[in-house]
Amino acid sequence: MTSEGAETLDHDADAVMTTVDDGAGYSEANIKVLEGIEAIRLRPGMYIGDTTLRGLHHLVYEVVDNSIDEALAGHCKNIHVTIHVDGSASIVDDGRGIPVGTHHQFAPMSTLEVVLTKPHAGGKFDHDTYKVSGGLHGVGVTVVNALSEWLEAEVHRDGKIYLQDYRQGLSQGPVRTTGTSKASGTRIRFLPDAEIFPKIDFDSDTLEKRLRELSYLNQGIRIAFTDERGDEPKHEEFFSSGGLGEFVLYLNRSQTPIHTPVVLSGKDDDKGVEVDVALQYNESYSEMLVSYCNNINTVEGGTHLTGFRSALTRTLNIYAKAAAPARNKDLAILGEDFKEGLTAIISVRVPDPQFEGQTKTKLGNSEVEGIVAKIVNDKLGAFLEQNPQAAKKVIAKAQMAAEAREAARKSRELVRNRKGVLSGGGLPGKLMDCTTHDQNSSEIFLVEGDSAGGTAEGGRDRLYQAILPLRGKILNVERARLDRVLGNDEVRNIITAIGNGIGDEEDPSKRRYGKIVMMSDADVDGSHIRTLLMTFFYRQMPRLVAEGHLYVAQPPLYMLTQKKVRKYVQTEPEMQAILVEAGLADAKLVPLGTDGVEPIEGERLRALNEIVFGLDHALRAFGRRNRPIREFLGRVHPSTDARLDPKAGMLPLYLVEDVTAEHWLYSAEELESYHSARNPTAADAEPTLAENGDIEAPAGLRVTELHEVRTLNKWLARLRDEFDMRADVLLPIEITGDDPPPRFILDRDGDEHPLLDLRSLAATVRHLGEKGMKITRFKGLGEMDAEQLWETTMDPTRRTLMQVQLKDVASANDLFTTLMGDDVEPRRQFIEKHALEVKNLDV
Amino acid sequence: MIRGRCPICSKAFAVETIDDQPGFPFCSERCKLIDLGRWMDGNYAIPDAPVSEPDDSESEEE
Repeated sequence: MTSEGAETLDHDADAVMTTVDDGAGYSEANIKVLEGIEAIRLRPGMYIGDTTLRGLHHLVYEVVDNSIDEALAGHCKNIHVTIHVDGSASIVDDGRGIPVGTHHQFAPMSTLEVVLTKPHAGGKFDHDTYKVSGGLHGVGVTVVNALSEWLEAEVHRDGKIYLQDYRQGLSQGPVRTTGTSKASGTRIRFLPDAEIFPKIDFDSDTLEKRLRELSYLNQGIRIAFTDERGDEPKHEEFFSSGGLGEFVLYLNRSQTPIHTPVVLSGKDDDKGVEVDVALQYNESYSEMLVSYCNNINTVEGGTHLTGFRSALTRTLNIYAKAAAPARNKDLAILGEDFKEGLTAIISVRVPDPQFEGQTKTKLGNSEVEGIVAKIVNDKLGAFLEQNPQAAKKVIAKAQMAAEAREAARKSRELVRNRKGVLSGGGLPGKLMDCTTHDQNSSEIFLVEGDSAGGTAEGGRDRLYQAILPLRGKILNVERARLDRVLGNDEVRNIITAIGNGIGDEEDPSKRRYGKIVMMSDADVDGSHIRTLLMTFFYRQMPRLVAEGHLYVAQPPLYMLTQKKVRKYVQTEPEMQAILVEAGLADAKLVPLGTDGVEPIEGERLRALNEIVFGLDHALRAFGRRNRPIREFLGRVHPSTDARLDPKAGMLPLYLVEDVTAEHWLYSAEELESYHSARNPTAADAEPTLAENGDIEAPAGLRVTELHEVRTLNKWLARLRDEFDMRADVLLPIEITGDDPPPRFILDRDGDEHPLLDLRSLAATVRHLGEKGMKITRFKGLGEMDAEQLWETTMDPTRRTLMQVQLKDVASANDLFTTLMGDDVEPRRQFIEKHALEVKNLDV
Repeated sequence: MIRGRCPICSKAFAVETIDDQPGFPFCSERCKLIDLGRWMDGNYAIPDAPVSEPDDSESEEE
């Protein structure tokens, strides 16, 4: 190849001789040129990195960079890159055009030829021409020429068109004038040499990407790209007026940004270093940092990147500490936490860039680090102060990242500890394991409270039942409130004991027990612990639940002992039914004061008791209205014959209060006629329901619908129709100055119990039912002994286990989320409701 | 169809089965991890009944 090159040169020199006087000087110069071109062709990798596609495309970038330099110097606005059908590339700019006159140093060679044939000869090495410059570290367009099969340089300048041809880096003749032109600019067209490059096909996407990048990095320059190959030529234009701010938006185009781009710019006049930074966080967790020095993509980073990183972490951390305290004070935000979701571009312009690293794409200038850091510190700090909304989002995101990082660490630790499980170690100290390792037959009871845990330990079948006591800690959060917490140890113990993994490693087939059973008191505290546990299982072990391995034990509420026979009762309604049954046995109710009325007994008494029980409940509900019950019961509808008027003996459904009086109305029809009688013209003034459930009516009028009276009336109608009794029997007879006489006698086996009113029937029956029966109410698991716990709750042949469905844990989660939420109102409602439940349970 | 909101970031989701979404019932593995961290720190609490005086609004009933 070398000898071929030499021959070409000789031939070439002859051609040049015809137009240049000083033949000897020219050939001398030519020898140097040969050395330059020859050196490049011998070791192309030293100049363009390699001869793969990457190196191939560098040829185009190199020429484009020259045009960009011209643009940065203020002489060029448009650049057009074309890939031609023959596979060659052309780059046209509207700059001043490379000078074609004789070069002062290499005379008689033209400057154009010097630029194209002498390495390190471009204008970029003269700081007066281009203050800062990109390009391939100074080897310039000479490299492109050297590595091209042919190259054609066309210059429009001084009203003329100049042209010169090259083959493998050597000129095929002097610069020719081929016409006139009013424009100025340079056009370089070349075909990469297939002897150098294994593949010489340019890739459209690669070029597009770099040209787009350049347009963002050099805002205001219009870069067009045409690919003439293929069936349909492709044309793209890149132009950015927004610069890096637009670039960052472009990089985040398929992400969801969480704020508008932050653009920071500054300059160090001493060193002549310019810094431009754009950054924007998105919802993802990955980081995208692109850095440039003098338009060169510094893939390996360098001092500008280091400066940016340290300043970003420092500034954001200072802001976070001052303005957005973390929910967990011990949580430290590290530099890596600020990386998540960050897209940033750092572009610097440095007069004398030093590039290091494998691919010479690492910026080495040490002074740049401090300059970038200072500018980012100052400008980012100011931005955060002025944009608290965006700042808050960024900090919140980093806090989440820190929290996730910590959680991952803890979870890894837990897994590492669990490694010992197979060899018997690593299980929680509090776990009382079972003997068997058979998954199918084994069970684990998660028992609330250490003492209940002890009872369960005593009652269990050690062969296949394991016990893990849990302590629901009580945390005094505020003065007026206690919070129930599932402590950190408890959660770790559950995870370790069940052993089916968490998160994406959750695998129910690896669980150490067939059934996971939650066992807690049947009271409010117990239900809180269950809510916490179920929320935990829903969130962290949903598969375990979905596959049906989670259960709730059903400890009894009561133990009844009658003639040495024990009976356990699990629910309040069940208990009620048992007592009523016992109380009604052999009983009859004798109405007093009316002669000839048959005593009520058997099925009829049972029905009457049911009616009274229902009425009693409905009256309790009415009691909340703070109205005297006797007065209200006196308002029954006066009609006597239910066959003529269904309202007979019924209570009023509406209370209408106007300016002068109260009106009790018995039906919706009555309410309607009241309205139309009062204001016949305003027929369309429909009353509407107010937020508090009352009916909003015209001014001065208040309509209350007594919802619970519908229930009262239902029972009253049965009392009327089946027993011919009215509401008055529910209350004692009123006699001034004397004890009221009883209305009924409840007679059981000659044992007579006078009843002042019918309402007391239910309580009396229940009371009678309790006779001869020993009732033990278990307020918690701890009140049972081991044997009782076994026979009621743990013995598979006698217990009831409730299988927990995904929807059960999901609704526990919903409840929990409401309670944990920022909304105060639902939380308050829950606590109040619970206060009620506690009362009811303790009745 | 299971509908829900991510307990951490409140993003809504709807899936056919729990396997359709990595990180279920969270929007992502990430949020699930954060939640796990909070459990392991014992940060989750449920409010108990208030320790203040019980209200007497229903005293009239009996």
